Amino acid sequence: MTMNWLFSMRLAFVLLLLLSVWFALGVAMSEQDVYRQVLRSLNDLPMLQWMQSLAAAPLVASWLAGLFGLMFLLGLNTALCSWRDLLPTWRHKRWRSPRIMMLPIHILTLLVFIFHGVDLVFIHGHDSVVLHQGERFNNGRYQIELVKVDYRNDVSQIIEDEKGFSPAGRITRRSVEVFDPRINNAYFEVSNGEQTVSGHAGFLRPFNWGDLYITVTDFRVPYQQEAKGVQVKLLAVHNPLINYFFICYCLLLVSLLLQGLVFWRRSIKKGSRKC
Amino acid sequence: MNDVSLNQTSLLEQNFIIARLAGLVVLALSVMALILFNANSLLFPGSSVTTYLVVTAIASSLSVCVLPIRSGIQARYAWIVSGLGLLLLIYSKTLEPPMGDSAMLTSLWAQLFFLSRPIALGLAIAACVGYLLHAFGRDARLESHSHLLSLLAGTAFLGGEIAGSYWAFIGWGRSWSWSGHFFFSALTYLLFILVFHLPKAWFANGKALALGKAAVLGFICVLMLGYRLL
Repeated sequence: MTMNWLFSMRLAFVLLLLLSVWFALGVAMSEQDVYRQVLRSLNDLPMLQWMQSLAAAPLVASWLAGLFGLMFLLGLNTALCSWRDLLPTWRHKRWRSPRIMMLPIHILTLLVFIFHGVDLVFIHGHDSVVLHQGERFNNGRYQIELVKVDYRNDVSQIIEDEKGFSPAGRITRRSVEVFDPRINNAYFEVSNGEQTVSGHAGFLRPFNWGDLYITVTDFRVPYQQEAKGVQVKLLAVHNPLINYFFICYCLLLVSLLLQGLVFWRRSIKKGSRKC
Repeated sequence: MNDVSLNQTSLLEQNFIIARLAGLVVLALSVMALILFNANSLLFPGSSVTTYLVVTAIASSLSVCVLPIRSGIQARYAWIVSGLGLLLLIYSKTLEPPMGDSAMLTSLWAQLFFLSRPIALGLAIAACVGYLLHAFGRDARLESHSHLLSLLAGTAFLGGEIAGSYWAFIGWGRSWSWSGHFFFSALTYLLFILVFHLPKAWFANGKALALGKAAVLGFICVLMLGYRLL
């Protein structure tokens, strides 16, 4: 039996169409509160621990199984098509070919797929901690100490009531007049047992040490804890893949722009566009 | 006889110049509207619906301005795209002026993310109209222009997604999450990819292929506008 269909652009078209429909179903599914909660729970767990959440939601489980199946087929089709139809342009050094950038575009897309997959299976986890000045957190691999909080906006706006609400509201809803992320900082000291480093982090401005990223997700004063000062909510993420992930994405962007340039120059030469 | 043909040529050229002017006027109006919004806001109001519509109008009218108009069909293209840009601009004036005071907008990555979508939409609108007119009027330059615009629209959308992923990573520690927003982004990007993967063998001729591309781009435009406005 011939397997040519696995290499074809027709299969790519069908798979892209099916995946579009699948994601549209995903959008509709995420509108339902029950399924949205299940999907949200998956965000905090590596893939190996998904079974418990998915056992109660067979629809989400089926949707995810379908999604992974389609993504696997599209990945396989992309790899085979690149090898058979796009690699020869590079192998024969046809540098002036209009298809020259097609191979990098497809390979980088494949790499992005793979990084998403590895991220899903192995990484997707973090430590969420709340600290007052002088407090520390230890997860066995590293210790984070909040040395100082430098909060320069009006503190009275972030004092929470007994229900957890503050006049400023959630951090993502705050106006820049009430909370300016550029002037509010937390100063941390991080140690892994052998080395100790220190630095500032703020909202949308993480402190980075190797593969560790410390992000401040909130500045607040909890109910009846005014005497302790501003509390910092932080997220410590250990992700060794993240740099490679963004490098791949940026290279893909550059490849697409180069493809546009190649096409533009070719259309000038052919006379379909005059400058 | 020569005078008649000369008159016709000069009339045609006048028509081309007016079509080009229409594009320039819509572009100038949109840029002016954006400058006014920015002047009245604390930060650039990238996330507002009004800015979304105005930037879409800028991108679509800019797509017209970079095309040298040399035929009647290209002049019609300029009129239609400029008209759509003007409609978006008029609709944006019926909405509340943007505040641009959200703390989130202090991040450059957030601004790039919010701006990428209307840029992609504006380019997609111009590409869709170009493919539609090419399907019925056969104009190689318009086809090549629409192909380039589709590629740039997809690239702008992807660029915005990368900026958005980075923004999410520095803000919440993860570059993406299982959510309706992520599914919508993936769906839109896949549709942009689909424009370049229509199998020629399944379409009877160039006209059908151009119509197919216009249909996918048109669907993207409706989807993006609907998601933002509704």
